Amino acid sequence: MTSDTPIIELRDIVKRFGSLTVLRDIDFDIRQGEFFSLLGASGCGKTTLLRILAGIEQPSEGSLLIDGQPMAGVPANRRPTNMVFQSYAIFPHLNVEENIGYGLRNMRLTRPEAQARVAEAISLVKLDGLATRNAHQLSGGQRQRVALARALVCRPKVLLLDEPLSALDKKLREEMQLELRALQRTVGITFVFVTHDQEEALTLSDRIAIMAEGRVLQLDTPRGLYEGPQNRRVAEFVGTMNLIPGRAHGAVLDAGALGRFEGTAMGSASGGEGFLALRPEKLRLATGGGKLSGTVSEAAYLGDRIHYRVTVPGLAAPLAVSVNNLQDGAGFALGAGVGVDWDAGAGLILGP
Amino acid sequence: MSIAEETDPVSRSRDTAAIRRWLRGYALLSPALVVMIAMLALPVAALVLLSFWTQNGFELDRTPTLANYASLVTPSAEPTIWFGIPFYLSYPVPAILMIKSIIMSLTATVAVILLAYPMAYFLAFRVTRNKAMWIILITIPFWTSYLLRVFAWKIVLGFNGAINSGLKAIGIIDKPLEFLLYNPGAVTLTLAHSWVAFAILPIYVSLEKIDRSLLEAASDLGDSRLRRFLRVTLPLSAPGTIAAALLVFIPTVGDYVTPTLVGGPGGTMIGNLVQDLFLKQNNAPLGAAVAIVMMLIIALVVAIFLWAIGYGRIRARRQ
Repeated sequence: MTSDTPIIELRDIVKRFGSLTVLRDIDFDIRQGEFFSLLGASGCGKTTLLRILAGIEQPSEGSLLIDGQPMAGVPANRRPTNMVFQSYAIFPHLNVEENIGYGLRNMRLTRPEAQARVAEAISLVKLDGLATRNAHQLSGGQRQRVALARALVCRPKVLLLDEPLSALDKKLREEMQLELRALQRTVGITFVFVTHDQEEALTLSDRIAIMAEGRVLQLDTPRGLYEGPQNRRVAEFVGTMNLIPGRAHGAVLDAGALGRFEGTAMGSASGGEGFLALRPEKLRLATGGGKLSGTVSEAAYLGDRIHYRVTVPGLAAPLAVSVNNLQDGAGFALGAGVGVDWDAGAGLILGP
Repeated sequence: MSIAEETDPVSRSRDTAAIRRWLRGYALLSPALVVMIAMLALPVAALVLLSFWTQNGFELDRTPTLANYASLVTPSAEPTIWFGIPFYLSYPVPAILMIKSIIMSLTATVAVILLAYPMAYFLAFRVTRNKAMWIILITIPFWTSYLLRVFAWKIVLGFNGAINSGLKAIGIIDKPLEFLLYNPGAVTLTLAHSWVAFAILPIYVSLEKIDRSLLEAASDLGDSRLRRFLRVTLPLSAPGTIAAALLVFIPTVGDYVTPTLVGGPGGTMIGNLVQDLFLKQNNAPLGAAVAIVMMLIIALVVAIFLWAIGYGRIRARRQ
């Protein structure tokens, strides 16, 4: 369903509120039919970018094309986008059916056509039997479904979702994640999803743009972001990452007293300050040997895995090591001396 | 029996706790209750009682009778015509004034809402800083007495008033316009001006409460600004607007100060009749009967109004 045809083209978007620049150098495409996430901590500009797509905010500079059409001067009500708001924005004076049918009243549809589409949307989001329920009688999960149905029923080219799951409890959130993904595959509409939850973004998305301070740090598939972070901030944002500081020389990091380590050079990290980045699950522990040696300072037994913290003299932060619980025996005791080893290609050399 | 004995102390202490809570509630209410009873309930009760008595010259006949009420609806074969409407009543003045007062009040109420709504809208959606200052500015007219504000209109509309002398000075008219003052229009205008600030606040509060994301959602779903206003803003501000309308309509129907000052002979309202019956015509029982009927009719008009706009439904959905 995902094709390489761009549905959204963002060109050098800058957004300023007064003297504050909240978005800069935003320049990328979102492809037809993909599940695209904007991931970042609060205040990174991801919601502002979504609101620019919706037409609620206007960019200060740059241009935006949706399905090849320039969107400058096109107000929110004439854009082929619909949004699921963080607060859901369910109209309190209307019931479920009227809420879902709200946007259809602005289209040239006959009454039976509109009714059929509302009924279809209600069953799509599994709200059957609740059509005449009032807004204030709905639970959080139901409100979320109403908001989703209300946007989908208009058959937008792009569906914008502003942290739609953040108000739900954990169990419901995980359920809705699966449903959302399945729904996106069923309807085949491009989803642009804003979230601060990296796990959620990794689970749901075809591609993710990681944002910080109004810029896109890296745009890639979930696997690409996890396996190939371009810089330290992305590495720290997605999953857990051990960082060994030193001076980077191409594919080699000189970590002073700890030694020189080979790795895969990422981004532009040569000649300056850099880091060797190692994922916890890429590390191996042994009673001796290895590239680094230290002592076990913490161990957490998770059943399928064991998480260790290994304090290495000369390193400020202990190394996080995740070991599959395959070996026999009790693993390593607290205070045991261990050697830490990894495959030469597993380490990434990152810039600051 | 034994079970009852065992649970008795528990339930008794629960009962005392409930009684204590109940007493505490009434203790907190009591100042308001005392004021309400002394200043509202008792006078109304006295009025009701009075309306069943009769005035005989300087004597008050205390035999209970419905004669006062009967006199308001006694038919007559000879109709009194008022604006083309025939009133087949032997004493048609109260009925005519009642209808006239309701029409004048409704006009003033509609004018007030039409003036207050845009102001409240501006305050709620366009003013981002110094809202408190704006609200204070709106209440500034209330720092002068109601009487003075009504007098001010007399000066504006009067024979040698601001409008007439202004128009004369620029040569549009050569003698003062007489239709400005002392008519129902002048009363309605003055009432509307006097009450507009009271209406702004409830409407402002209900507009201010509207979640801005609802408006964004409506635009996102294809509404133009006008459609969004009609489909979201207006229905959601309805409770405050209705409150404002009632706040203006109910007290203005019975107003007698404004018509006395700017109404002239043609601008009298039902309140003037009650005042007249009590003070000039020395017929307090009939005045009381007119006042009671006026209260009942206002209550009826309000009830019909609320029923017509489906207020029950609006309230249920807001919860």
